[in-house]
Amino acid sequence: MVALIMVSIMALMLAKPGYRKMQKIKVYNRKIASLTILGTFAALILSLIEPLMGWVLVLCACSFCITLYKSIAYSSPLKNSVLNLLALLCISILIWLAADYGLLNTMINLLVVACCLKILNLHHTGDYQMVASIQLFLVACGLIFHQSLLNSLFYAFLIILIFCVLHAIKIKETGLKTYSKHTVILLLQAIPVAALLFFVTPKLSPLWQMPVNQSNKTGLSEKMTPGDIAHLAKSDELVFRAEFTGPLPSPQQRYWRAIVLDEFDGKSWSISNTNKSFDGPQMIEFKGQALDYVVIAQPTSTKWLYSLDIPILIQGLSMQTILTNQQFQLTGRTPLYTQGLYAVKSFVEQPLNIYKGYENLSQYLQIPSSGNPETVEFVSENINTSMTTQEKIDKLKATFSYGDFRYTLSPPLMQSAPIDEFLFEKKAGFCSHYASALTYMLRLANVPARIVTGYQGGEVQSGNVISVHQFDAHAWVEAWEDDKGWMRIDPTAIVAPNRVLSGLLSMVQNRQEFRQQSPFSLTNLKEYAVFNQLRLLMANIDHTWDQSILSYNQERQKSLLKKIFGNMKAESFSYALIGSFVIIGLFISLLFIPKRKAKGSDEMEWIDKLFQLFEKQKLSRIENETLQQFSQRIQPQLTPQASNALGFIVKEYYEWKYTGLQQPAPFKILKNRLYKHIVMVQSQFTNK
Amino acid sequence: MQKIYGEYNNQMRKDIESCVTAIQQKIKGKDEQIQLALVCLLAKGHLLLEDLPGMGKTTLSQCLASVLSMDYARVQFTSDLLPADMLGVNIYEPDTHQFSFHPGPIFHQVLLADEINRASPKTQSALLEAMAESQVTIDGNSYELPMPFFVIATQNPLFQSGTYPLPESQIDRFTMKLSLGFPNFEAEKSMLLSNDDRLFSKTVIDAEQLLDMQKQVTNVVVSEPVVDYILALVNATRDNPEYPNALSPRASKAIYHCAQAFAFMHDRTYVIPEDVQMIFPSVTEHRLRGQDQYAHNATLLSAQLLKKVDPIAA
Repeated sequence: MVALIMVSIMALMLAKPGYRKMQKIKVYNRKIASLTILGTFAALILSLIEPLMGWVLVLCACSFCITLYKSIAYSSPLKNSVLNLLALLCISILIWLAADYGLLNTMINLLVVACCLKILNLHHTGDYQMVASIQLFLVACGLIFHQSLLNSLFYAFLIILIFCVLHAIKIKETGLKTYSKHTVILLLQAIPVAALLFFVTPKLSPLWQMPVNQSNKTGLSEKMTPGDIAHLAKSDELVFRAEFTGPLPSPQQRYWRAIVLDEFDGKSWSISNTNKSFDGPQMIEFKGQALDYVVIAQPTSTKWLYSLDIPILIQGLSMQTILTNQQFQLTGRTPLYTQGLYAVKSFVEQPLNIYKGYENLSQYLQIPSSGNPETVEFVSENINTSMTTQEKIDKLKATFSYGDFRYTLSPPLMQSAPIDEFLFEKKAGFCSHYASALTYMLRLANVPARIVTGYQGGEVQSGNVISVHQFDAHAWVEAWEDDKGWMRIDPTAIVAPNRVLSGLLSMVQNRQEFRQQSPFSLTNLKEYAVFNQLRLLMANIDHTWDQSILSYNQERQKSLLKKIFGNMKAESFSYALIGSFVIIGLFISLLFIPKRKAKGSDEMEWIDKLFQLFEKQKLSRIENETLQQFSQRIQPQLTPQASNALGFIVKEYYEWKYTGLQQPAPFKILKNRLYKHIVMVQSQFTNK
Repeated sequence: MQKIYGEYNNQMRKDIESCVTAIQQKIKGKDEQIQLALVCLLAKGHLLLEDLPGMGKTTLSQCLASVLSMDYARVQFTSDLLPADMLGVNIYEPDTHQFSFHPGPIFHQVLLADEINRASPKTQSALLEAMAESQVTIDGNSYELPMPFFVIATQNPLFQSGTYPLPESQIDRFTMKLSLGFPNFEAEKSMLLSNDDRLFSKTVIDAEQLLDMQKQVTNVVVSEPVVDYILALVNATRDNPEYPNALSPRASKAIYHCAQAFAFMHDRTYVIPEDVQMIFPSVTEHRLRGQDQYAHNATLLSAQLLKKVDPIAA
């Protein structure tokens, strides 16, 4: 990212408008440049389609069509005033909508609108440069949303195209080969610099936090209404990958906990306020089998992280601390907007009762005062107070075993009393329905219970990696037994044991449903061995990319530097770093030392200004007239004072320029001497 | 020093002024051509006058010779004219039993080669060689031509019968080509009314002074921007299919010297682009046209060229 932004800043420097009049773009090059710009524009818009507003998309489509027409059939330029008015309108709409849309999205929309409008008026070199730099920023924005290897390659390709455009408008030769050759050489030269910057620049925590993305990102939410997770099951987006150093957990153990929900309002489950803060666990001796793994989590809009029970954090995120709370969850302090990597040790055999006493169990017995009367009746009929907790649990679990329940990804709508309808009418639902119903019944039976949402299962890849996708989202129940602590109960496993053992897609029926709902998912190709292998290979490459590039953080930088330079004091290292940066900076600044102005460019500017002065009075220079001829021609139309002043200017200028002394006096002196006279000419005009 | 130089120059300039006015009395309404002819002379160049018969070509050359008090010879070129007729011959002298050289008309300070395109190419080239080298070699002996040496050739337009067109290489040796053209109504009227058929014989300066002036002309400053301008003009003709005959370095030299002479005539110690523009058509038009001398183009090629090159930017 940093490198990319630097690239764009460099491009901006290149894009410094100027010499607008001087440079004419070759017609052929102009055509190619416009079409390429259009191509990259379309590709960028398509890749950024999520955060864009509807009307912006319409605007994009319009400007795309107009520009396409214009670049094929050359037409007169649009009026700048019209475009400016349009821009003003767009900006005011954006400001109006900004509050609902979040800062980041608004800014992206703003960039896209700017690109849209600027693209309509591509005439001078400067215009192309401006559009190119806007597009480079859009590429940077795209990388906020998509960071996978394929996407990075896609954006790299776009960058090459944009640089080709920047090149094409500058050169006289034509031909695709010329543009691409030069550009690729240029970018190849930039690669070592970018790599050096990437590996060596200190990885500081960002001074600027990415603004909260308000668009509804798929993922677990802190409020669950049964049926919600079914929505997640349609997505095959990657949630995280876990790389195990030791043995893999068995399928039954793969319950990736994320959120614990304990407040029920009759329809939805949410997190109660009481459990939201916790100081951290006491040191307790953990026993039994432990699993070591590293999780690479994809960005989400929540702060919940994923782990198996009971997690002990080995190494946290580079950006923020991770908390462990009393419900055995890991959370970040802020949502995970960028990819995060953390190492965890999980004690899968350890009972979930270590924080006993910290907890207020009564919270887990909370039920809404009314609603779902049939369920209340059912529980009171079946359960009596004399039964032990274990008996109560078994009894209620059995409800699902004999009830002709069905597991489906597209559950029927249950509106007024969802649990009643589910249990006694529809008898079909997704894991969240089962978990919700069971938890409710357990609470009615005076057994403390809660819903846990997270992910279950995951796809095993080579190298002891488990990939977990959104369709692995799951919800289950935890119930409290006094002597054992929290017990995991998965009612879904009773109804559809395969869901737990081999994942959602193992069931033919579900697979069909999944296919109906997301027909373009690569996961559909699982049945064909070749494609499946290919898919797994791609997933592996992607994992390596994540592991090595995206999660390169301060720690890893330190260890890398240690490997190269040996043990070095932090202090001396930072001095060396500063020193090398200063040296590099000096070298770069050498490039930017203003070159001695081309001979006479100062003078040309002055002459141009002089002619412009007269042009304002409709006295323009005839093609290739000399200054003297010009002044003689326009003299009759000037006031005597202006005419005299102009005569003096011409005389002085000619003497300066053509008397041909070996070393002509610097132009500045002449300029200063004539300033008064130019003002005189000007004032005579204005007096008229 | 500067002042003395200035005063010295002033005298010269007055002389030139009076030369011009003297000629103007004889040839009316052709001020520009008279000036340019003098420029050509001051730049040590040779002049090609091209016009229909009876337009005053001979008169002009005779006037020039007269005001500058130079000796003057006229050779009427015909198809049977031989080089020896012009250059001179070695003749056996029975008295001394030796060959002695009898110089031809070329050994005059002003030579009017009338109707040069009527002579055979052999004779034409003999003249032009002499012009280029300022000396003549006959039978192994070289003879210096007098100084100053000024050839005014006249030619009739080619559509007249019995002419040998000058090849490009020869045309290039003439520094300038001028056309007098018909006089305007007023000028012709005053010419007829004055009824003066006497030969023009008014001397203003002598050859010595002319040589001095020619020397002074070379001191006129041509600054770098002006040289750049000249080169830009010349280069615009090269590699351009619009100009079948590109301007040679000799042409750029001719422009350079003529511009100096023009500036000198106009009381300036330095050349400005306007000087170049003034002399440019007569110096380059015949070179640009080449064989195509008489193609009827609406605008002169040299004028197009002047419009194409920006004198300020160059």
